Amino acid sequence: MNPRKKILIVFLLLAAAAVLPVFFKSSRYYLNLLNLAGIFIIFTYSLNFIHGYLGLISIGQAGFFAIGAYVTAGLTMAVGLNYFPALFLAGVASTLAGMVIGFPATRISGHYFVLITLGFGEIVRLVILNWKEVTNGTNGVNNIPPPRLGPWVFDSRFSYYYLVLFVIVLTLLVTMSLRRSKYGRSMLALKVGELAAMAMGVNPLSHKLINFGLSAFFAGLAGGLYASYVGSISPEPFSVNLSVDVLTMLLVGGSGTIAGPVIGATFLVFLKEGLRFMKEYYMILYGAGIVLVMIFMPYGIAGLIDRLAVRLRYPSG
Amino acid sequence: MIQEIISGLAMGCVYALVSFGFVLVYNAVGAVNFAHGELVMFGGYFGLIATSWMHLPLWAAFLFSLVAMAGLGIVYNRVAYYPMRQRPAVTVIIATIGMGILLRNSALALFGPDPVKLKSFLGDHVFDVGGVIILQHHVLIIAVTIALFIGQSFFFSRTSIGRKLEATAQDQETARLMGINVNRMITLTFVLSALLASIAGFLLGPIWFRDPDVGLIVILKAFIVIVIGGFGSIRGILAGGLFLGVIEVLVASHLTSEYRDVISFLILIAVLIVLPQGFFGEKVAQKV
Amino acid sequence: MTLLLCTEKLSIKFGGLFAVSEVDLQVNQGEIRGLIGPNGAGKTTILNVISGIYQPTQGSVFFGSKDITGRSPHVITRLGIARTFQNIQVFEGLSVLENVMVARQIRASVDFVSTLLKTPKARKEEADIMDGAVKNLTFVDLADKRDMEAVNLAQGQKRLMEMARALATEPKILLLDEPSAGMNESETLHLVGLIRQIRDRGVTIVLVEHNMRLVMNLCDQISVFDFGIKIAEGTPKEIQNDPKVTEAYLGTGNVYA
Repeated sequence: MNPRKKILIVFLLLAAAAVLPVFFKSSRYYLNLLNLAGIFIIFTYSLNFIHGYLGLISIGQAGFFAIGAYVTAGLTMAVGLNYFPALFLAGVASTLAGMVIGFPATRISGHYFVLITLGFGEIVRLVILNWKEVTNGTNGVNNIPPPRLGPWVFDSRFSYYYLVLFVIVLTLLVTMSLRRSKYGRSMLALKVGELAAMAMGVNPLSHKLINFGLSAFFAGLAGGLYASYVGSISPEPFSVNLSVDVLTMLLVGGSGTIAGPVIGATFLVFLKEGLRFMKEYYMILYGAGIVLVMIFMPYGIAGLIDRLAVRLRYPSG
Repeated sequence: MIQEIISGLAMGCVYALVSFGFVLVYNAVGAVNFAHGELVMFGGYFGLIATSWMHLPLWAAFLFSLVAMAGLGIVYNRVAYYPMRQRPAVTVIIATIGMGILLRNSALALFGPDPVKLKSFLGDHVFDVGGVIILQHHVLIIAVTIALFIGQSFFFSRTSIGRKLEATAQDQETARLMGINVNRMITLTFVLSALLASIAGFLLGPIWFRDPDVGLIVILKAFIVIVIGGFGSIRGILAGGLFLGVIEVLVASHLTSEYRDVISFLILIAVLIVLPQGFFGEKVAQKV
Repeated sequence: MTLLLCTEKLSIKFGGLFAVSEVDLQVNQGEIRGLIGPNGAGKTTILNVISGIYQPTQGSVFFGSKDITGRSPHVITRLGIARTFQNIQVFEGLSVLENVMVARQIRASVDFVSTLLKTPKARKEEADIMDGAVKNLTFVDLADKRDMEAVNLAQGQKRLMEMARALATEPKILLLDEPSAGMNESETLHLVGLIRQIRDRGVTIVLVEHNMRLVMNLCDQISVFDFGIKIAEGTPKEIQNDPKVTEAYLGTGNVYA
């Protein structure tokens, strides 16, 4: 599919997304789900940078998410900064953390990389939990103010939707710009043939570090959006489970694709909700569902759609 | 102090056992089993089922747990590894994550979220060694662990089936060519891993309140041990486990109890930085 | 005659065996040097050490007067030594053009944020990279296939693409590892022409090859290896008449294919 067609499709989908909440204006329930899905879409895109471009698995994204959330809360509440610069700075703070952990992390391979991200995520959570003077520990931070831009206050689910959509569009723009850029090419080359890429002059460490920082930035943004959306945050949710959730969303949706994070995040957020009526048993089905998806759709839903599209175009196979 | 060290060693032994079970599967099939901690937890839970629901005596409960876990190991292999054995490793990782969620929430559904404690074979009895009180259970843990580690060394090098398992772990293709039924060996590996998890679960039971999230904590500690000890060295794992166990206790009682786990994870990161290729990362001479 | 590439007592050990043992190699600027020898003689290993993929157990590699022993592959490439691979290493998932662009952008300097924001400077750089890559592809006659998935090229075309890719880094030395493997007669002829043109543009070439006719026709000097040791060196005529060389190849049938 040529790039022009792709951009058109994306544009149409975005237009549809922009109009969508009008149909749900009266339903806070669905708007809430969409907003959560939106935040997770951004979060999943952050992981897409690391996995889609470098083929690395990280289970420490919750750490960046948490930093984004707490820094946003801290800057808006303690310093009184406006939400939008605060959100940006939260992303920057996250990026800095990403660079710090990225420095040792990108020097090591495969499984050990995963473990270092795990260690990072846990350290962030534990520090937040125990540094009571700054973070208020388990009691968490409450009454986080909603974003304000001049006369507009984003304190309804309806208005928040557009804020989240805006950030999603930004994420998409960055993702697409990266793919067409020299950095994107080099990163992909590193992923599929590290030695050959190095032989072509690609510096593996600098590219991995940039990628890592980028990933941390968007995870931080997602965290900041989360903080002022739910209004109160505490360290418990920012655990390995959250990082694993995001990884699952990426792989179920399809890593390394534009559609993957959107599909995966939306699907899993809605699935969790949809199964909630089953009370204790819904998580059991959720787990079973993940196993089944991996057995039958190893390239995620986006990958499955890709294959079907090829099958349809060339029916003789 | 001695008391602390003994309890640290005991905890370390449990870590080592958990890591050992984990690494068995990893070495054999290259798969990271994220739900191994949940298997440990289930070992304890099966014991609980046997004692509370079936009213079996403790030793029978232990046997029941072993058998049940062996069965779980077989099922686990068939569902979470076998269908994806030819695919990229990441699919197996996610599948095991799914299994972990499934197991953890099954436990939640069966037993509720409140922590429960499993009884030890030795109850709360203690040894009094010159004024120092030592829990007999801790000594049991250390003894069992050492016995198992010595036993495994014998098992893998001297027995026929042990050698077949070794061969499968080293190189599946060659093993197959040598006439070894690789699939059966892999299933057996999963079973052994589950049995080790079961034993670890039983030993852990009286120390830690058993709640469904314990699986996650346990596997995280196991990862630290493996980084310290190395994926391929059984002795390293034992040493790493003991090291972590003792360090944790000492840090908690003399430095800071709240940031104890932060220190553990910093150790993890420090080891990875100092040995950036990991313990067994030879510069992979890729064929170009 | 300037000495451009030089190895001194180069040895590399794998496990307990020396794959390459005490190799002294001197390549002059503007030369086309052939490295030949039976399979397993260590020729590719030597290229791997020169290009930084392997660390030698002993010995050194000099580029001009600079000691480049054990430096990282990407650093060595930036210094001016490029290569192709025996087991073809095209970047899967990237198009032919993108493959070459990866190499072409070796000296691109626009920073990350500007690149992402697509500032005018960034866009110009991207256009330059693309133009340069197209030129490299045109040189090897693959420009019409630029948008194909690189993995879909035929074997011989992949090798040509690898050459274009290596040339895109604007090297002073080009290491070619069995470039004619899998090529038919006419493709090989085309290859010979290309290599000569590359040399005429001022690039020094080191060539590992099994196709004897190609080697004898093309190379100024030939170094012969067996079991990791250099056993002979000289002009094609000298090598053809060297009994040591014939002996090394004995049992592999007709040497002058």
